[in-house]
Amino acid sequence: MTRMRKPDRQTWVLSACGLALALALLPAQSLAQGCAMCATYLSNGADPRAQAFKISIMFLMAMPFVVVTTAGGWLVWMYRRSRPSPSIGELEEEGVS
Amino acid sequence: MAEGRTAIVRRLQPVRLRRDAARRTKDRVPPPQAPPLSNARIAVVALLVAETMFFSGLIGAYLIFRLGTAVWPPPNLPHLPLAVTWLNTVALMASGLTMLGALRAARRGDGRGLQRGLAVTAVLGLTFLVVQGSEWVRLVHHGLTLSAGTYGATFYTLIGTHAAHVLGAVVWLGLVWHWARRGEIAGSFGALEACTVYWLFVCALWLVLFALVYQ
Repeated sequence: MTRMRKPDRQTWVLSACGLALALALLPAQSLAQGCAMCATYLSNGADPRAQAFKISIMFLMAMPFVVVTTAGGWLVWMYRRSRPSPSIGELEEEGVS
Repeated sequence: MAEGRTAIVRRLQPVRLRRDAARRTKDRVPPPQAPPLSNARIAVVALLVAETMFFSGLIGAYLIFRLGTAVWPPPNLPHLPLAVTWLNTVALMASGLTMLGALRAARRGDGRGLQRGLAVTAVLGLTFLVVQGSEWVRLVHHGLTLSAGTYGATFYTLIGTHAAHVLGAVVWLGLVWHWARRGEIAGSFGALEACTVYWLFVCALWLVLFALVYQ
């Protein structure tokens, strides 16, 4: 059984250049047309539907960050609150007088 | 000479025993402790994260329909009943307070207070559902149905999904009340805490939906 070779520096550089080239060659126009509804509505800024789409997109974009931050903070708070405090013996072992 | 060595060994033996005992105590494996975060708490957090994202999707769709329409509600459809829903909101918020009271009673070891708090919470939750159901019947009679355009569709989807969650929470509450009556909650509040957090989530969610849909 042969072991896989660890990629060397030249391989990393070539891979990064290839990825950068692929990204640069992606036509921007096709990215903007990813969703036909968005392209149609959001092209006209005065349309109330365009504003509604923008607000909804901003809301849905922000929610995962809000939810993950809140849930993570809550978990950390519960963990710190319920962690048992060190005993006197443990403090003495650590040299805390 | 031999007697002298034996005497020294006998004299040193207690010291050695004490030292071995101390070493054993030092190297002793600590007894297994409960994890700082119980599985129930982590499961509740995961559930609430999923629920929040689910309702965020519904609210996002509602925002598109509501903000993208010039006149809301549409002229030929009835307005939502605000006064009754205000009273209903007060009932649901009161149920949140009674749920917290039940949790406090359980932590005090007051079994009767716990059962009373859970029962009052369940009655308030059922009252909320019954009042909302009767309002829905009136709205349907006035022409606001699920197929009455985006107004009816978004209203019944959002508020109906929340009502389904309240119903689920009431069933959960009934289970916890049943366990409390059998004395299975004493000393272990995992199920009660999970139910309390979920109930408070449902109450807080209603405040958001009420402000969004009924105003």
